[in-house]
Amino acid sequence: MNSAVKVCTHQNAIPILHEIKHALLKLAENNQATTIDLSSLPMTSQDTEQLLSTLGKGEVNVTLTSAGESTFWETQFPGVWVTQHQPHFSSKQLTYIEICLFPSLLMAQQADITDGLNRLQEIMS
Amino acid sequence: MSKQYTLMDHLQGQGITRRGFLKFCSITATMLALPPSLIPQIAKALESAKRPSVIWLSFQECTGCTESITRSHAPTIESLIFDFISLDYHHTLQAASGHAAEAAREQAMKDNEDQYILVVDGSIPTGNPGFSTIAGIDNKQMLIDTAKHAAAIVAVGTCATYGGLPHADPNPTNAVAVSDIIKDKPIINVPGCPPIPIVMTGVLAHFLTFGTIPDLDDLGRPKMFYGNSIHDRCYRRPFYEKGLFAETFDDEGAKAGWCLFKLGCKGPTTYNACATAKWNEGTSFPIEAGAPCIGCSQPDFWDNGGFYNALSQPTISIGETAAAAIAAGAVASVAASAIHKSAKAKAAKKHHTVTTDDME
Ligand code: SF4
Repeated sequence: MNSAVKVCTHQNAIPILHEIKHALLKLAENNQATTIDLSSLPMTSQDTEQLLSTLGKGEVNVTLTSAGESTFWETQFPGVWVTQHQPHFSSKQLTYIEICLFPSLLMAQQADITDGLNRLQEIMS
Repeated sequence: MSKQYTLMDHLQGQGITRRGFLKFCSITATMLALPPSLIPQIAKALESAKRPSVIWLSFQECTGCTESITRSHAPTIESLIFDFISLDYHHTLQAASGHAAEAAREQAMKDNEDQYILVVDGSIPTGNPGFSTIAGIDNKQMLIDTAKHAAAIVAVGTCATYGGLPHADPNPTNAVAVSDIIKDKPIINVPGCPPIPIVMTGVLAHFLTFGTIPDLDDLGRPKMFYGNSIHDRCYRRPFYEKGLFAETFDDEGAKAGWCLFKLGCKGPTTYNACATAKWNEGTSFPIEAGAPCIGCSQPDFWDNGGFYNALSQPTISIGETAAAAIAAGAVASVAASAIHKSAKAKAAKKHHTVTTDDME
């Protein structure tokens, strides 16, 4: 990752950056995941924008289209992910910072795998 | 016995996969202010959540509360939950009217005895019973009759919770709140003029997830939404701490986003979720738009001095009235709560409940 780290100057975003740093340390040392829900914190849209631009974008970008659109991206700091559920599923855009190896919502679910298997078998029969 | 329709069936019917359902659960966790670690347990509870019957009564109100919850432009978590509940009576929304509508209410009460949720918006006039009637039944009588076999009552909006605008001085109809009339049922107060839609849905989601009512504060409000003051969660708080205040609506301080305390902001004495849940699909909330908080989720907010007077300038007459009301109210409420505690516990007992401890 060679993009320059922009320095976040807005007052309400800085404490979150500290929280992310501590969570990343926990992930690095104990493989312990953390989720920070930005929608429960006193942030203006400018605070969120500044925080997200400081975190930047990394190598992975995923769109999930189940029950409305959600986007996931890894920030320029590996292990720090941003999850955004668009407002057509919730009444507002929900933004989470996930400090983990991989966001669990992206993993295939047993019930959906079984359902897919049945459909495949039907197509092939 | 036929299998009961569950929330999972409802979501599957809308083409939502298991992964989508888990996403729904993670949003529900956010809405209920529960940690993400509880998502698997929330999923387990919501999977089998049964469709609750809801009877909605509207008394002296402006329909703003109903507007607030139904004005979703696209399928949202609010509308998904709102579609899932069996709304058996709501005289503004239902097609039936007059005796046919009343028959639907009576049928729902009979079929779901001690299980249905009663939602009330609007205050109840206690002066002349003719001030407000529905199908010839006065509001107070309809409330008493319908509350009798409800599992719980959700009072929506400041009119139903504390009397609201109809209760404002001189209160010509002698308007009172639901809790002034019904004393033997669990009542969840969801004040606001109007309340935030997600707060309203959150109460229903809590009922679906836990089968019980959320923890309430001393004004009967769910602590998860009304546990912090607007001031506690206000993004302008750092300016307040530094003593940087806007003095007029268009001075340099106002333009720089300084604290609105001197312009009458009631944020320090108002408990609600506006600062985090926000309004209009999460766009902003009054303070973010440059307007001081008017304290609409607090009792008697219409009569608590001018909206644009600073909290530090109370009017003497209001201070005296409030002190007398607090003293009288404290004595009355201690006695009343002792008498009605057992009745409430009895009503709660009839309903299957779980707690967060059960989930862990
Ligand atoms: S604007 Fe209102 S709520 Fe925000 S810090 Fe100032 S007084 Fe408190």
